Amino acid sequence: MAPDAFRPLVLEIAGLGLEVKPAEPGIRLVTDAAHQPFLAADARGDCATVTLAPLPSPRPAKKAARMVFDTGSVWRLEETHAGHLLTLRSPVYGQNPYLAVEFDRDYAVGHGETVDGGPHLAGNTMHPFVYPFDEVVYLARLARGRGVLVHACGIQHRGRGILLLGTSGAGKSTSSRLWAERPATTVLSDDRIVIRSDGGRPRIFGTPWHGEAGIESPGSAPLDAVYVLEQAPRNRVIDMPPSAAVAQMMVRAFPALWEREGLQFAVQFLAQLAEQVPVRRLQFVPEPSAVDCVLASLDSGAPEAPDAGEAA
Amino acid sequence: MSPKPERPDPSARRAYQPPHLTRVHLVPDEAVLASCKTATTQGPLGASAKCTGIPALCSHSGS
Repeated sequence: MAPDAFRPLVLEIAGLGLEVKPAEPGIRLVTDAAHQPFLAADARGDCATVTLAPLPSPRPAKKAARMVFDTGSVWRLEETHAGHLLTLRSPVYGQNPYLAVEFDRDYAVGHGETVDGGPHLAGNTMHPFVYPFDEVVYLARLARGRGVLVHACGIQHRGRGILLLGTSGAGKSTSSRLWAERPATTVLSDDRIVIRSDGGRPRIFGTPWHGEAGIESPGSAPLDAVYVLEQAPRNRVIDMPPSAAVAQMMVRAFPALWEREGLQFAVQFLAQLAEQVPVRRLQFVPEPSAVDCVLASLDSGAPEAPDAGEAA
Repeated sequence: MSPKPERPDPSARRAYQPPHLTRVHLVPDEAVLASCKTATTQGPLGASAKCTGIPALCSHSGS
């Protein structure tokens, strides 16, 4: 095995890094195909570092001072003396976490352990970027004024960024497949997109957290317009007033629901975005004509006025 | 002589919108990353299996 097989893995999404190092020598770090285009050679710039130690069997997590957020499912966030404790659990491994990482208050440095035989470690092979660990860490770091993760399909078309927002079943993967057939088009992700400010203007970034279409790309594009997906019998673009736009974007975003500052940041960020780019409802049929409808509205504007009473 | 301050163009100002409540529908499991995303996403079952497989590690799935 080559000596560099034991190097740390550095994930880079939307210009933000996450480096994972094994706490012991002889552990090889690997990742799935979706994350590979997002791997960087070295940690640089705004990069968090997590050191993971192998654990022979699950054990109770460190005593925390306060429960901050319990999803009631896989992950929990607790407050400790020094920062935050993120734990991941599954009924398969009993009540104790299969992964526990204690972070500083800025989520810049983390130290933790993961169970051998669990999702992240099998013998001397470690899979650090298994859902939802990396996504939760990015979510927490984005909430510190860096950007917002949204439930969306992101398109780069002839250098322009188009965001198609939607919860499960709204048609993100279907739309991604339709857009992928167009020339000069890159689908940045069919499920998760990061929005960050780039010189005061919103920019969208691809992520490895793909949806059913399995499309991801580490590219990015300046955001031109946002569309909230809504399947309908015919294609139609409807303008939304900024207040309704922010509400609709918030329910399709992943803000840090556990901290007031994180929520405030997300609302303010999306409110500013709604002032800068048009946010529209896209009623569409899952056919190529839906793509043409979006392209036509990009330059000509929304053909129809807002409906009375915007609601999801 | 100091230059006159420019007046904002009245036509450029947005019309006043009275405050109003908007009811939106939130999908809690999706909002907090509590569900495994897809059958093809590597999840808590590990690299060799998918999180929506059998046995299921998560009680929910969504994308």
